[in-house]
Amino acid sequence: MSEPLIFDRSVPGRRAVTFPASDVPATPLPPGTRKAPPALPEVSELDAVRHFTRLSESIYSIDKGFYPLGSCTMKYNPKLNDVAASLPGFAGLHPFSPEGGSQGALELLWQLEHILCEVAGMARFTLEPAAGAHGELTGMLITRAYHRHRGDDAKRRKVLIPDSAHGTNPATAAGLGYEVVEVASDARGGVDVAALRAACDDSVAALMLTNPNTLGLFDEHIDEIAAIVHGAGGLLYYDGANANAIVGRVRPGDMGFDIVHFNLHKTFSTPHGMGGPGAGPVGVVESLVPYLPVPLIARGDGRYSWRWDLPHSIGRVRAGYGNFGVLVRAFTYILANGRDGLEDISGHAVLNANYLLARLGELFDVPFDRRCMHEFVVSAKSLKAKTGVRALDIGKAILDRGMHAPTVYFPLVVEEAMMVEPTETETLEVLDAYADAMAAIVAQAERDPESLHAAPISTPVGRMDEATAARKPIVRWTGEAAN
Amino acid sequence: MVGITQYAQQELGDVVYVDAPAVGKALQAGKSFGTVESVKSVSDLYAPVTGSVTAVNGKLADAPELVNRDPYGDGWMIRIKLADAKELDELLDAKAYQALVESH
Repeated sequence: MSEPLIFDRSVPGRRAVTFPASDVPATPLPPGTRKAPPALPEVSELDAVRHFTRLSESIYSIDKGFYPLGSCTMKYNPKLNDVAASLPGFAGLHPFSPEGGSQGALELLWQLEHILCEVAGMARFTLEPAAGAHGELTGMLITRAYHRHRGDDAKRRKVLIPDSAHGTNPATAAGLGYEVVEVASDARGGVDVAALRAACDDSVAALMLTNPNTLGLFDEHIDEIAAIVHGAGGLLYYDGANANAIVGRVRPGDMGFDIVHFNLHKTFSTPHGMGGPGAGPVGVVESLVPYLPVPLIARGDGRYSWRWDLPHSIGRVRAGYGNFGVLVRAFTYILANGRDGLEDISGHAVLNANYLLARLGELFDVPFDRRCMHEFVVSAKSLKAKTGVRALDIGKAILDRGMHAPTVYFPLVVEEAMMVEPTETETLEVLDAYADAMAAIVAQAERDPESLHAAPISTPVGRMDEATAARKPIVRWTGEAAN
Repeated sequence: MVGITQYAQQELGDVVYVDAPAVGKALQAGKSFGTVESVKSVSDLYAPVTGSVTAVNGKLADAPELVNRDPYGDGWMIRIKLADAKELDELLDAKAYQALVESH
């Protein structure tokens, strides 16, 4: 990469800010504090500004172009959301402000919670979890608390997860000590009901399900699936990763789910921080409300307060109450769209995906010949057999055409998978430009496959050596030059 | 001696990590004994026979690429002491495996 590390720009003694000489007596630091200064880069203010500006210009984002990364819902985030979150009353609020000084913020959280309850068909939500996977952890802690309270935890050691699921589902269950049992998909891409029935007994704590699933297919047997799991005494966990397909139209609660998490940064248009602030609120049915994290928001006598007296609660899952700025953005988005607007969102997301599926289906294998929901999976299996060009090469080649790659090699149940999620915020012209670019790449693969193995060639960073990065990762600057 | 096939290493792509069991561990035919991680995915490794682990290829910790380069030689993963030699009759030979792969 042409931009060096900021440490490589460091010159001993160079400073961005020079303090005047101290005119008060020096006080020694208390014992146990650092004795030597930290090895921070020594640069001028302008060095720092240029370095980070250049890095920011290298970033690809939804504000620059099309970003159909499957299962990530990279929709446009309206700037109005940021206007609301920047209001001084919200932006300047301290997380430990007393209730009396934060009634407006509490009212916003209360309203957002109750809108999410209506959208999900749940009784209450916690807005505390800071990301989708954090929501999963919270939901599975609630599952464990529920079974413990019933004296059933010792025998309920299994969590069922379909083979098309996101990796975070088995990771969450395994992290809590559950045995993960994989459930196969059927020929239509849904949960194999016979396999589910065979796996269900009184050792099952829960089924974690994403519906529509990562193939972009709505499970046609959801009523039966819910009945089987409930019949065995297990809970149904709804992974909201793909809620953009159903928002405003179908409610997880009506499908029989007991616990739901939404990714506000997907469905409700808050920024994907790539590890930065997200929000993964968790909703539950009435019988599970006692186990929700504390505090909950309470309303009475025209004022809002924090409620801590929940003896069966799993406890607090995050300092403060969630990523408040993110919650303000999601609330703004929901109010700006309204009830009918939410229905339009899922409608257009599904329409855009089906249009792109029809166009890409002419170029690639379509593993499941069904109408898709908000995303779909095509396979480069035939192209690879014919030309040696793989899904990875296609993903890299689309970068050279100024657009983002699809998710590749996921879900694992499809060979040479490419998972595409256009979202509702793209126009027909953008979708056509993407399909045209894909057609051009396929033509290039047939003409000159070698050229695609080198892609991308026009991006700030070319083809990465992913194998070495995974085998010998350098995750921390140590002062020694990497080679 | 147990490892993965040429076909498997090709499908996985560059192998970056092999999680193998410790020497002495009892294995059961058809059950997972570890995982192999590539740049594409993480896959379970299934024991072809029942027995116990007598050796583990320590070289893979620093050089997992051996699995790609030489799956039938230096890229071996574990050595198993068979519990029942008759189980070998259940396994495919190279020719039958090739036919299975090609029919895929």
